[in-house]
Amino acid sequence: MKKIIITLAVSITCLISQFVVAQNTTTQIVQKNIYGEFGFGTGQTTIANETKSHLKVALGGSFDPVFAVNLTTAFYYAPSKWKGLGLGTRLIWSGGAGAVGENGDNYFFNYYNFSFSAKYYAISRTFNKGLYLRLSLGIGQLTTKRANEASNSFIHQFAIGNTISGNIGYSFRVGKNAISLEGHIETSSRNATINGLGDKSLRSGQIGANIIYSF
Amino acid sequence: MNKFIITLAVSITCLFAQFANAQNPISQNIQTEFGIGFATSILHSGKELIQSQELRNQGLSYFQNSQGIRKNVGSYGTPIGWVLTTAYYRPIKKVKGLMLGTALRASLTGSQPSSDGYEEGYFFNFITVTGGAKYYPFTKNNLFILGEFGLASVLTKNRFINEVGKQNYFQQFGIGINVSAAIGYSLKPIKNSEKSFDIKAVYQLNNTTVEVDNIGNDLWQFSGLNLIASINF
Repeated sequence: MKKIIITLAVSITCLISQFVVAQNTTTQIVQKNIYGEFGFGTGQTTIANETKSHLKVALGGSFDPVFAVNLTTAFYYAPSKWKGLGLGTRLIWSGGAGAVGENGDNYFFNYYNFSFSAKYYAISRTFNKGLYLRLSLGIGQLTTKRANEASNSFIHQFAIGNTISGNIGYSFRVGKNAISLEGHIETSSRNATINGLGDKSLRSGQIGANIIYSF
Repeated sequence: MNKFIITLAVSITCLFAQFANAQNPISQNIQTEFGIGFATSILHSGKELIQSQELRNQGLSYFQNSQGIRKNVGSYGTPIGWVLTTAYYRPIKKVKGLMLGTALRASLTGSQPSSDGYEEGYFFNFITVTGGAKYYPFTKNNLFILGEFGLASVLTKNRFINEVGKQNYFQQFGIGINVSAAIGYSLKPIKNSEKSFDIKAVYQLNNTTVEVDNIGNDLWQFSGLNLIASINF
């Protein structure tokens, strides 16, 4: 009996060992020239006049947007043979603090886009080093809300559409990583379904600045 | 007996040692993932969330006239739709088979009634941005498990025809937290290529707060079930 158990234990161990036999344990992690980044910043939201009138219908009141906080993340594929060019994807989320608008209610205006993005270090020809230009074409949403918590009154409106954003910035190397300062400009056109108006295009944008950590 | 115990102890030690050394080659590469799949939503709790679901279960319009009467618009199907996803995972050298990263998933689901169609449609979209861990427990078998935790947002829209025959909408937006778990398998059809393909089932549990007119803060709990195919660069 003892012999059977020992044989069985050893057999199972050997079998599983075949599954998990270490292979290439000395293989190095392949970097593949992919760079990631996180960032934050701030900017002034702008809303086109026609869009303001549409939002007045949608929300039943008007407001002027305040500064927005930006959170960004991105990934770029940038092999050295591309000489400073990286192609990838970027997510930019912008949340505006509540603005007091018509009738003293709070109005919120938040937006984000997920984009295909190109980033180019035109002078250094080395990714993550020196002056760069960035162009991003994305899709995303805006959500706007009129809120009066005292009366439990909340009106929501959202829209889906396209965003073009551009940046000019400078990357400072910190070891293998980099910290960048950049200017930010974006313009968006998003489609909304609004009570009483039907399908309408809402146009907005932002001018701001971001700090980016690249790794 | 002693011989048996020693053999068993050595065997178990060897087994765990082998697991600790397990290093699936796929888990050694940085993965940048793009994927698409099928999604469905399951609504658990929330005052507005459940009361509007009960109307759809009865085949009634979201709109009620001044007498409190709602039109019968036909039966609604299971809310199904698409999920789009992108993710980034980086190997952790010290724990073999483990990768850490971040994922963005957008699920666009909805349903329309059988007789009044798009004009009375219901849309239930949710987006998650999470940090996650992806683990390949075996060396030669490309099975993986995935856990995620992060932010969730939900956007819903009820379409309906009002008393004067005009198309109207009732929209909601909320934010909260997400916990997800997934199981999947990586395929590597091209030998010596860094590209791989994943097939995975992802379960998402979301808790969001939605400010609903005349209700106030409404806590919505819902799930997403996704079947996703993706390519990893």
